[in-house]
Amino acid sequence: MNLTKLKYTAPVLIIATILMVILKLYQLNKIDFDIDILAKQLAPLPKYIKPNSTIGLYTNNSDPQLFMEVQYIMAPQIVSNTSVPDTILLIQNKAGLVKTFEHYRTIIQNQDNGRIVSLITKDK
Amino acid sequence: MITLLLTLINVFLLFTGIYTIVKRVSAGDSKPLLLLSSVVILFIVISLFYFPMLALNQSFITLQLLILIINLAHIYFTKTTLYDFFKYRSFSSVNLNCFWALGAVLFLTVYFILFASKYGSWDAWAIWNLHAKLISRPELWHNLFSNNVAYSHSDYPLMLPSIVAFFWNGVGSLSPIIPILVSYSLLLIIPLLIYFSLLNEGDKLYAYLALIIFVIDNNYKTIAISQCADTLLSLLILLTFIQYKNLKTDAANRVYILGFICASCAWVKNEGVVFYILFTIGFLLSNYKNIQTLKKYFIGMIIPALVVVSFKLFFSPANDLISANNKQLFSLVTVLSDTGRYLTIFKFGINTLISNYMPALILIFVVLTLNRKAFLSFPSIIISSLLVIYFVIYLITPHDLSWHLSTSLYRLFQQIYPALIYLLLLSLKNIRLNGFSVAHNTGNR
Repeated sequence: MNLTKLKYTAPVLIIATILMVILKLYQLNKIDFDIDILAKQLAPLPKYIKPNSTIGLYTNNSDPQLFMEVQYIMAPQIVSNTSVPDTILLIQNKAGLVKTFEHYRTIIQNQDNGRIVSLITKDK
Repeated sequence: MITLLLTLINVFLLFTGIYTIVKRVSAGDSKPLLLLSSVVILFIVISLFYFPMLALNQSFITLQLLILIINLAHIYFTKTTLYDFFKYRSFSSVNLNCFWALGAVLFLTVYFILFASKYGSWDAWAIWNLHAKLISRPELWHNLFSNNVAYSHSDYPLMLPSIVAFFWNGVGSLSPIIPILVSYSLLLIIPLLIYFSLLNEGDKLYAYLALIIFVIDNNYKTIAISQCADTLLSLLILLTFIQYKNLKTDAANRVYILGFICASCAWVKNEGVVFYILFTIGFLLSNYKNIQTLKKYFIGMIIPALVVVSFKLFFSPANDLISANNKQLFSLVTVLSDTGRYLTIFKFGINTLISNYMPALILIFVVLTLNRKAFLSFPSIIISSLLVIYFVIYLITPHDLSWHLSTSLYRLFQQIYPALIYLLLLSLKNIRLNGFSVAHNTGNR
């Protein structure tokens, strides 16, 4: 192969590759996956939670993956779906049975995508 | 912004420092091979720096300052080699071999563009990137060992999570772009490393063949862009064998790097611990007369081994397969005499090999036909022993056997796949060279 052609083709290949990767990253950043949609709803919560505390999770959704998604989004905060600490994160589908907790007050709540997200804490 | 700048400067200086060291101890390696090895060692070093920061509960900026001091000290002592690194090289020095490598990069990138997902596979976000998030803040990293995240296997070593967490801290955001870029770079490095290693051996045909295998192998590419640690482990196992192979021609100080990379396998995944122990025992037995070599090997492995041992001893919980909860360990005789389990593992293994690893199977068949002795070599014995150990682990697994096989066997094969392709092509190359030399000699007569 002609070495002069190589001299010009190599930088073109490198630039094309870099541009493709940049465009891909830009595209991925623009697309909202399920985790992104949930993360946007949970985004205001961390400032109301002490960093080194554990919060409980209650959901009326039977999908076991939801807990892992919430844990991933909230990390390094720890979320528990077995114990019931003073602060509980409620993620409830409007279509399902929406449970209310007595002796708890709501710190923050938002509704989106047919889902109610609330952070509640025990009354003292 | 200052942290980002400091991180970029530190990573670049660290890379040049590693490059100069690798270049000094790896006589005979081509420049692309040196660069690729340096990138892999850079990843390892970053993760090894990150762990003490967590264990000693220090801030990220303290770590950056420490790395900066080390970098400056290194520059002070090796300014001449740094100048050599920065020397201008125009694209006119690009030869045909580099051109094919660039072509392969382009093809692999197209696959990445079409199929890479934002959060990778389930294992990626539920285990590896979750761990990275949990260790991203040194003051909260003990949350990694909370029972609430026990499903994510808190005992898994932290090389991949700490690389991701390092760059997350550097850019000041938990952006999914970082793990995507790490997986993209691993996707590229493996085929390039095999390609340039085989070129370094002087055989273009098999180097091109290796490149073609990885460019067309969708199974390899799918797992590589999944953001899991299997590809990183496969890269380190491959690099260990490349260093071991080159040891024969240059036995001086390369052993330091061999020990360092081999021990680092244990810092990627628990399967890496098994590989590290096996390789070290094998290396010890095959070099027991050469005390000087063994000394260098053990010096090389000290830091990664210390990090792994301290993590396993002081922080990590027991692994589910070897913990007291594994009831199979108490009924070993029953488990080991169950022929059904043997058959299930064997059938599943064959099916996985046929459906996902056809290039390796074809090469194994060719090498079996042409050069059976290759299967008695040191690397072959290590890989075979590794497979035997995995087989025994499946026999005694406390999990449902079919579930365990379907979720993990393909990943175990993936971990040794690049090294296997490299070793098989290398043994074919040796046949070709031997064949040529015989023909040549006959012709002379």
